[in-house]
Amino acid sequence: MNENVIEVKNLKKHFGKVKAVDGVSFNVEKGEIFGFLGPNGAGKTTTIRCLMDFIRPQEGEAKILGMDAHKDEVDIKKKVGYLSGNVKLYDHWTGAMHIKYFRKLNGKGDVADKLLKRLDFDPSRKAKEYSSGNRQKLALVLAFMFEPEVMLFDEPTNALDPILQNEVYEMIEEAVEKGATVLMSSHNMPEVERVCDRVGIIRKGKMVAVEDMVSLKEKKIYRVTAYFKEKFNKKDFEGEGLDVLRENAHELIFRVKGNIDPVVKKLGKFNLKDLEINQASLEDIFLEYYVDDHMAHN
Amino acid sequence: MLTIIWRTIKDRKVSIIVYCLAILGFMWMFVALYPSIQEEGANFTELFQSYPEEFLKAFNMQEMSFATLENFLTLENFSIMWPIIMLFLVVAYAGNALACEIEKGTAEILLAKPISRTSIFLARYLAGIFIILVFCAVSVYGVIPLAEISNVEYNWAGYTPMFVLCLLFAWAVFSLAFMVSAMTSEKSKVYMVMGGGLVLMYVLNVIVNFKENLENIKYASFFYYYDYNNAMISHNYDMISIMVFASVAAIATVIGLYWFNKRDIAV
Repeated sequence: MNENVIEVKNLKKHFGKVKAVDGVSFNVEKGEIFGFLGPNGAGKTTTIRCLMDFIRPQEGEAKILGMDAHKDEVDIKKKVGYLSGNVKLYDHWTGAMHIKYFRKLNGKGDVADKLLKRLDFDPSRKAKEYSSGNRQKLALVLAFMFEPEVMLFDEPTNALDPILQNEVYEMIEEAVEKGATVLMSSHNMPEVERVCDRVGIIRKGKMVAVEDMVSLKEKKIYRVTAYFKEKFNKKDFEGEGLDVLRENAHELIFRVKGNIDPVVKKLGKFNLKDLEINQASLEDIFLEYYVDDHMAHN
Repeated sequence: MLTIIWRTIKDRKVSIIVYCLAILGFMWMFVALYPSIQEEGANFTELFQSYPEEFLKAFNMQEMSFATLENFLTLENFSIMWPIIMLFLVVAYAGNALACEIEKGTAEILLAKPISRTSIFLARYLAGIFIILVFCAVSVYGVIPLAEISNVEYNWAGYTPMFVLCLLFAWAVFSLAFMVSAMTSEKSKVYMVMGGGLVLMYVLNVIVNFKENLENIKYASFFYYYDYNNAMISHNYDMISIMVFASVAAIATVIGLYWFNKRDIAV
């Protein structure tokens, strides 16, 4: 049986009438990268902040490594690395001062120097002088420097360029190889696809689904715009998972749910002037796959 | 916890130095002015005696005299200048120590580390007490070297009672400000509540002298217990003032700590 490192049961956090988190439950197993997926305001950050004991839920249970997120906060935080996409630093401190402070507070060996080299980060400047990307680099160093057993990341690649994003994904994967467990929130579908093993989808404070990546990939939606050099038969593009949105003599716009491979093969049989394939936003996927279903259950 | 205390003090060292230099500057000015004021003392005393008795009582000026440096300093420095500078120092520190960090989001930095909220609160609180201690020591005992430099006579017997009174007054104000800071997420609210509260206390302490039926209200004012003449000139330790300031500080600290432990931070 797999060991649950993070356990969240029926977690509720309301701010007045706003139900930021409304009965969320999920588990993250040891060595897993669990993506916490949802649009802005869905309740991802609130859930992570309950796990970090920054805020206190009205109901429910949040446990990390079998310990209560509130009662055992000090013991838990010895083993947790936390990173927020909205990095907060002391502006008048240098990067080195932050690292030194964290060393003194955690009081054990660290790999900060290695990380500084890896991320090509200069810690001698004051935080207020760093670009948003460099602030995020410093936050990454601070989150990874004690090689934590559990990582709670709230949109960790915000403000990072694609090269650095890949570096972060590699760092996360390497940490997991060494035995770490990761819960990371995101509203970035490709990021989740690239890194996560399993995904929890949250919307309006409720967990709508927990899926493994294979199932989620099957739920993709594409918008395809094909410009034909020759006449085409619309019927060739009808079938399960295909919806024609607009057509004229040489142009067809349609939506594909799920696997796009058969559609690409079909289009390959035509002479095309141009072809655009756009992946639908996560919001559209939610609306398509989860909202109606979820409403029906409620 | 020591790491946080030390780091907090280091971060505030410039402002501590500025506040200490400011109060020393004022005191040096008063000490330097004192010899010429003393020469005109009889004229000033005559002038003040022509003021209405209620007015003198309202502003704690009944013992108006320029016979000693201490008389002059209580009138010019400890009556209003010192409380104002102290208020700015402790309220600014308290507002920045908790509420400002919550407002800016930097509270997350410490909260994500293996330190309990109680330790964070107490570390910041003790750093504040250290700052108050330094400020009170400099602003009271600092007179002695300044008087020596300026060749002005002084009586050392009143300085320790004055230091104790100032320390307790500042501690009570600081504890209240720290409690408000632990309850709110905006430093401006701390400034507003404490600034408003202390101005109200000052006004209450003044108006009770004009309205006899309001006399009991004076007990609600810190300025009633801050009897600088009794400490500096009569060299007395007033036990009621000590008890009131210490009790207010202790109660406010316990409430602040309880609230800080219960509340949501970084919402």
